Amino acid sequence: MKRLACQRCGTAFPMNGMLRAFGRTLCAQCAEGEAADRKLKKIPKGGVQQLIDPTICVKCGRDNGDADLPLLGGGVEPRPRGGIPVCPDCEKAARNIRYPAWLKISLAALLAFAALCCLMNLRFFQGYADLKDGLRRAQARDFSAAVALLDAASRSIPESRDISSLASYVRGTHLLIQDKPAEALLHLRAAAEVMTGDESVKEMILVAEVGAAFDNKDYDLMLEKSRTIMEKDPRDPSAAAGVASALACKWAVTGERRFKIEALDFLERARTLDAGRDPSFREYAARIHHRLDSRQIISREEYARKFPGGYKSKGEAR
Amino acid sequence: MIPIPGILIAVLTFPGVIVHEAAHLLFCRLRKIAVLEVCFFRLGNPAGYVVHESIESFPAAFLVAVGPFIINSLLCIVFCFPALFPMRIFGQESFLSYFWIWLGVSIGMHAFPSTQDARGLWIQAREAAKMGSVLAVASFPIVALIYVANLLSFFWFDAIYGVALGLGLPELILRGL
Repeated sequence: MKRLACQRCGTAFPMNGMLRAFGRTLCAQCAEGEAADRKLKKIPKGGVQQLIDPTICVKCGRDNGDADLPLLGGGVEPRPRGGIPVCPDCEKAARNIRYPAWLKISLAALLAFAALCCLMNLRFFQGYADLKDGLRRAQARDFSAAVALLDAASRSIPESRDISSLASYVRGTHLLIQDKPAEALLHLRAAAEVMTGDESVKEMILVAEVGAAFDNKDYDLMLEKSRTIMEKDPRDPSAAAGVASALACKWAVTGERRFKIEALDFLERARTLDAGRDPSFREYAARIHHRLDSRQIISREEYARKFPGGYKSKGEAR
Repeated sequence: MIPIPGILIAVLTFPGVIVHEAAHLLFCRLRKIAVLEVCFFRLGNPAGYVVHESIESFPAAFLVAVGPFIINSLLCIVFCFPALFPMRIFGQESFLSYFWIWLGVSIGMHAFPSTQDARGLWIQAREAAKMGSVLAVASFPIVALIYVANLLSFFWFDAIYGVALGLGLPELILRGL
């Protein structure tokens, strides 16, 4: 430890307790006295500096005797340039400073909690992947796979009504394609409860209602729903053909010629609108012609069995 | 400008301050730079600080100054993205989601180096560039960007950055999915 004599009172003090003030080395008491003598209300900037004993470690206070300790951290603000005396142990500790336990524990707890939450949220990522894949499959008209994937997504995220309704919609569409309109209707109506503003769901429901009415032999309802579809899109050839189909059923059941005439009108309108674009239209039109010619209402399967090469209309007059 | 005391912001986003200082400390440890004093959080200005010896090597100075930018930005995304996913895609909101978003944005908001760090790095980069340091020249645009960003923090740029990183970036990613 170094001791210095106060240049005002002459007493020797440990260097660490002394000040460099007004150009002299003073003890704290004399520095105050000097300031009072000079009637200073405010000590000028840099007017007083605390002296640092280079033989005492500023971190642990270890006394190095008469030998100066190495200076660490030269120029660190607000310390004076030249650094602070630090013993080798403290220097080592300063270069390998440890994180406090509270920080390590909180960070570990936070990261563990984050990992747990991510794990719990994994179902959302899985559900989303299934949803995207399911929609892709539906667009590619691979409805079996699409339904399975959307069901899986719905199971992953049961709280999402959007996914369950989408799954219902695709399942309904699939059933409709499989010619199961009554079953399709149940799923489509379930989908419509959530997808309230979706026009495509409404259209699919109408199509399913037409199919279900046909299966139930409720041809008045079939005609009514077919006309509703036609009103929604008068330029759609399949809608016009649908009305023709329902009218053909009415003709088959009642034998009232006006239904046949109207059916032929709608069929002609559908043919004009289609203009040969849809290859399945010809088969559909032939089935309607068969119904008009024979007054027999048979299912698509039965028709396919009876006329594997397609039906040729006799071209009977109206 | 809305006059909100900095201390209030620091209190509301205290995890960011702690992570910022911890990141400084991490890079000091990695580069064996002597740390004289650390304060992870306090009610004052600055809200946290790390006093370390002066760093002569520019790469070390760059890492210590930019460390929080890397760590805070990374943690901001790590905490925000998984929390935002169920909210934005499936509308599934929960207290936990909001907690993670607060945590992430708070950390992101303190990503930028402090005024002292930015100024120190700026001076050091200029000096190192004059001495012909290739790294200093190469990192000059980043240093300049950090310096400007720090100046812009007066206009809440740090908060905007935190929100953009925590909420905006996941939004962009989710839209692209």
